[in-house]
Amino acid sequence: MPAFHQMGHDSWNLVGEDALSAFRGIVLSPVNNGPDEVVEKLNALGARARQLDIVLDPQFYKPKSDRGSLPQWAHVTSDFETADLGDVGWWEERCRKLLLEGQRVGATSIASPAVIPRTFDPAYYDWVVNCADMLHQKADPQNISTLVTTIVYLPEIGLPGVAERIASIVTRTRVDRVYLVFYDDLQPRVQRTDIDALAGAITLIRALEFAGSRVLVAFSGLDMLLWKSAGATDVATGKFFNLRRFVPGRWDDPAEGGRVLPYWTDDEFATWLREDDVRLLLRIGLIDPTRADANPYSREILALLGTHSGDAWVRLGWRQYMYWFVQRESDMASGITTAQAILTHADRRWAALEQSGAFLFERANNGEWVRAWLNALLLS
Amino acid sequence: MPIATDSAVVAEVVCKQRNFSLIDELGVGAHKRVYLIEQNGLRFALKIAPITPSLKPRFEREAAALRGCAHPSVAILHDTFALMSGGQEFWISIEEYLADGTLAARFARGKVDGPLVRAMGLALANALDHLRNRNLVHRDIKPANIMFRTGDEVVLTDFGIVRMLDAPTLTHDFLPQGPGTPLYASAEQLLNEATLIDWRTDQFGLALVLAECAIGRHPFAPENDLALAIMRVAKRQAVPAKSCEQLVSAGFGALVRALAPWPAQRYRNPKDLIDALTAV
Repeated sequence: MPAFHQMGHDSWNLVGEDALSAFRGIVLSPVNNGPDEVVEKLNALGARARQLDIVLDPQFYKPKSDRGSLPQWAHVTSDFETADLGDVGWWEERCRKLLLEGQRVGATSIASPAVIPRTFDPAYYDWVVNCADMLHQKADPQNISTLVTTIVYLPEIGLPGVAERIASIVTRTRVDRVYLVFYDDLQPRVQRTDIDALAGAITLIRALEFAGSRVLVAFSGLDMLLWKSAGATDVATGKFFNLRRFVPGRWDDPAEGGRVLPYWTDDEFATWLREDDVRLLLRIGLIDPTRADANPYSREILALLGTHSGDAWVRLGWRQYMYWFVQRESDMASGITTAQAILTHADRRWAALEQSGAFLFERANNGEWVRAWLNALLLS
Repeated sequence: MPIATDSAVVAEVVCKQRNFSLIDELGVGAHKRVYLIEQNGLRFALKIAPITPSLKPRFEREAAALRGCAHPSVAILHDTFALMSGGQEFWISIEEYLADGTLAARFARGKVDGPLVRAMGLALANALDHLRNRNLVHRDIKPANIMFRTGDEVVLTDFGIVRMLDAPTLTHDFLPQGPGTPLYASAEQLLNEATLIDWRTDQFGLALVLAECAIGRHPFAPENDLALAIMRVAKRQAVPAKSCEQLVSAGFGALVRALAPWPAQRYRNPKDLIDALTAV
């Protein structure tokens, strides 16, 4: 029941970190690393790399070839912006080159090419499946598994029959792994509270897994709790996913971490907290340092905050989040806990905060999604 | 000249040209007439249909589909060709003669027993696997299109509306209903959802036929109202509880999943269906 590390800018050091070794796979990001760099980084990981399921995500989402390291990859050509994307032959060539690149970097799996469409209609998913089949026919003899990249527009997935229809089309293929991308229109760190959309997403995951597809939900954040509860075998996250989500502007974001604020991942509130709010909750006793001890990075952050040195802890925040993610994934997969239990506990913590009379400095961080998520689990 | 007379003339012409003896007329379908012919002691079915611009591509697809098949439970196609007679072009196909009639005829004579239902299910699920490997969807599985070679040797026939998944669809998206016989059609056929058509559409049709044989009536019509049964399927309702109970007690509970409203809820692969039918 693995968690995957969704690679981003300067993420390789986290892959080799001992405390984060529970991640069983990585999803390569051609935007952030060229193929030569990937080979070099994987070589540097040594035996650890051989334990990983290495998924190559071609990142065809937006037809632009000049972003980051993309031009270094053979599957991305300069005619990307002007090509007839409806031409099957053009995509067949992309699949051929993608496979060659996958073999070159040592990928064990490849997510099929998929663009973000103008409309998410059945004909689009039909095309998605055909593209995945093309890749599978070439990759399977090379012992490289294919994942059907399935991009789903979250605001529409709650409409009646949409989840079942998508699942029916996507499971038409013999390719039995799905790389599921929930495409959203929310701002970073704002959690979705649309119960119908969340219930639809849960229904989709359930339907895919029931039909025998192994689902990897890409670009996950705290919502991993919902996706695991729905039965997703695999979930992926990266260090920036306590900040960003898969939104229209995602690939336009500058790929650097310099302006990123540190965030504390709070398991008990099921939220991310800024430093001021961490200090506030510590003072009123709603962060329990002894409980936080279970996460080694939480311990380090609290120790740092205790010194009042003003030192930045962005890097520790990333690690604390990644550790939380992989631990919770493991706990849920092994039945130690459930999303309902985690969220019910979080609901009580938010109630305790309200009773305390304290107000978080970050106004939008109000926990209102917790009940929405619980209800989505109930109604799906 | 009426088509029947036309066809009889054409049958005689074909027999004369190809050294067959015309034995008898076997029946008539929506578009074609079928004759029993014989050559060197071997019997064949001669099918004759007037060609129209809209039907010709379907005839060609049926022929192409069957030519690519070689399975004991798929009817054997020996020859196809076009023939001009009296200013009208006809589509001619010579197929194996299936002497022991249709499942529809057997069903009309009484309930089909459980072991035969299971044997038919396994043989035809194997045939669906064969078709799937060739990207073919039959789309019209019903008792009239299931025949017996000798004894209980079951054969799937009439690929007239076969869909080749790797070829452009011949169905118009704007039509309210896709090809198929409504009483045995899945929701995706009734609603003309072309992107949802795959082997699981045939799985639904086969399961419906088997369930009908197993419990003696259409599984979506506990009250024997066939119009209501079609409406239930089109509305993507589950198999009525009474039918589920009867299927389970008859040892065919495995068919309930095959009759699920959405393809994703049915068996993913033919082998899964075969395993489920074998396990009971």
